[in-house]
Amino acid sequence: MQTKYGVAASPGVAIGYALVLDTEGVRIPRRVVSSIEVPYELQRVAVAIQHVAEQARRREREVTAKLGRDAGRIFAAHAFLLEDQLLRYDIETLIRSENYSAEYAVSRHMRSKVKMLDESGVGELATRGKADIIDLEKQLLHDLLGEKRESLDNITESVIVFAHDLTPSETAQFDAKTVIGIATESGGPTSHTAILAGALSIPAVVAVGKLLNDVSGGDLVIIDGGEGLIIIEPDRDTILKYEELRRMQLAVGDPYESLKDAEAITKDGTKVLLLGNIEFPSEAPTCLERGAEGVGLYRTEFLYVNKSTDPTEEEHFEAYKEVLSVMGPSRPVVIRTLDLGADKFTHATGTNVEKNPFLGLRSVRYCLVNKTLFKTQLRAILRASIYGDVQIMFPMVSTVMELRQCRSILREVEEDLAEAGIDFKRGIPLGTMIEVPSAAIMADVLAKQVDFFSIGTNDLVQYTLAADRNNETVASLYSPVDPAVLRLLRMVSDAGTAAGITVNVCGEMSGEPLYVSLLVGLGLRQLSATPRKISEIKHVIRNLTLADATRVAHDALQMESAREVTTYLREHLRRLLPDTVDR
Amino acid sequence: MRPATDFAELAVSGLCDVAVWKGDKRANGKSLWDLIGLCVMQHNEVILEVDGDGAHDVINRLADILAHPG
Repeated sequence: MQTKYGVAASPGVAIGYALVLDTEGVRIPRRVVSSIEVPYELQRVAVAIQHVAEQARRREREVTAKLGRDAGRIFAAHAFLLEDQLLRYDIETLIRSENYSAEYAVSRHMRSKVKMLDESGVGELATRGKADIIDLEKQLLHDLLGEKRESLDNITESVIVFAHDLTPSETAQFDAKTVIGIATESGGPTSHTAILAGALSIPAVVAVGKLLNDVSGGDLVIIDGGEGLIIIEPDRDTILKYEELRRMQLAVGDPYESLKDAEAITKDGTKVLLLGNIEFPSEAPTCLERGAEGVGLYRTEFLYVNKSTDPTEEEHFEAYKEVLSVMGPSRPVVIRTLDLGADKFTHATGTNVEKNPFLGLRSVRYCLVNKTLFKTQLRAILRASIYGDVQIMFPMVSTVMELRQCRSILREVEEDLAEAGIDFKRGIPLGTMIEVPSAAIMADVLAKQVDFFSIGTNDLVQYTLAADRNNETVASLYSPVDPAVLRLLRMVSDAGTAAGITVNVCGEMSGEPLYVSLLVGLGLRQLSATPRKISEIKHVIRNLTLADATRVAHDALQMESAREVTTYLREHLRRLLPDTVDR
Repeated sequence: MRPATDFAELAVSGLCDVAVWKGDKRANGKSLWDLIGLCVMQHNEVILEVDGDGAHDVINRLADILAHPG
């Protein structure tokens, strides 16, 4: 039994069998077989080993002929390993004594060899040896699985997916009924995997570090997404413990569900508009179910990632129309234009790999030099505007000039549509994300150019403190309540009020009960959060008075460190909601 | 990997038994798995044990491979 720790990315407990994705997506269909099937599995393994050994000898001959003895040696080594009686004997023993399937026995055995090399810790020689062994494992599995190699969208039983990394479109394909957990070696708390898993309510743990060598497809695993841990091959007591935990969590469910239709209003009558953040049209109904009064942030990146070509105007249009139709004529839907850099487009030919992608050509900057792409999205949004209350927002705006350029391009698109006689709503509210410090500092000027602001706290905090949240050497500097950030929030909120425009907060901060009083006290009246947090936020608001909130903000702004503020906010929340469990 | 392969192939080609000792760990010289598991690195000291027909010849050639992994 092995416990691995990572970053808690999406809460929930699940117990199931592992599906390990290597770079070729090979998966092991079955772990154990009945005793009657054992002879057949033994035969399959013998045949597979023989095939792959012959293959290796063939390659040795071919490669030696073309490139010489030294190159051919690699395959000689493979063949030799495969021809070794010990290999066959060891794997057959696993099948006989444990009733493992051929695939599972191969995988277990090879991984134990790799682990042994890992433990002896002998550097380079071991690294090459490990790579060879993993290569052999793959070849044997390929031979065993033959045509039956399945892809991600063929999952029929409940599995917990293990991978080094998951692309957004891979995660997006997951059906919460079959994928009951996700664990990745890399990633961070705000990575796409975390966001998507949270949106899909699939327990997830990321940034575990080296993990894949310790788990085989078919292993029984427990995942606790809320605590950020994974247990591989748990013993009976542990299984019972987590089954109980899971039962308890399911029974409690959403403690605030009853608030779904209640108003988000403070005790002394100040209303706060609560909206939902979505990545896919299919999440729009969830927003409504969770009591959101609209979509405060529709992240449109998922229309672009992992496709072989850019999305067509129709693909954009269909997605936006769907969301608008679900939300209806009077609930706002704020669509954020493309917020990615070229590095995220898998079909972009990597000519210039940026050294600092977060300070590079991405989001609105990328759009302004790729006007066709930009206009396509804007056209689709305008065309969809007749189906509801759509608003457009531009990400990563850092100067007034950029905003002006965006507006002028939008005007061009409006003229094009008008000329073609295509229907669209005029005067759609336009807003800008405030996430680059320069925009926060120039908020008073920007406020005159837009109909609303939306503060992207995740990036604003990172840029302001110059700290990468996913870099564990500096992650401790990242705090949404660092005094510098609080002053910027105040600045933006005041600028908004002075210009009479709405200021929304999207970003993780708006979904955290701990920060609600502070945000309301700073003058913010619109929060957009991941749908499942909305009721909890509403609960805090309903127990708050504006006077209280104002005092909290005022006190926090006097403090000199994030830690001071956090402690203060915790105390305040504890007094405000004595029955809430502190996280 | 490569010298280990050469070593094992040579060991297998002969009639005698071949064992390699590193400290108190023993590996069957005819099994590449065993040899990899032994993790013999440069400058490690190992003891070769060869027993059977043609042992002298084999042991010299094996020692040569170890000395000049190339």
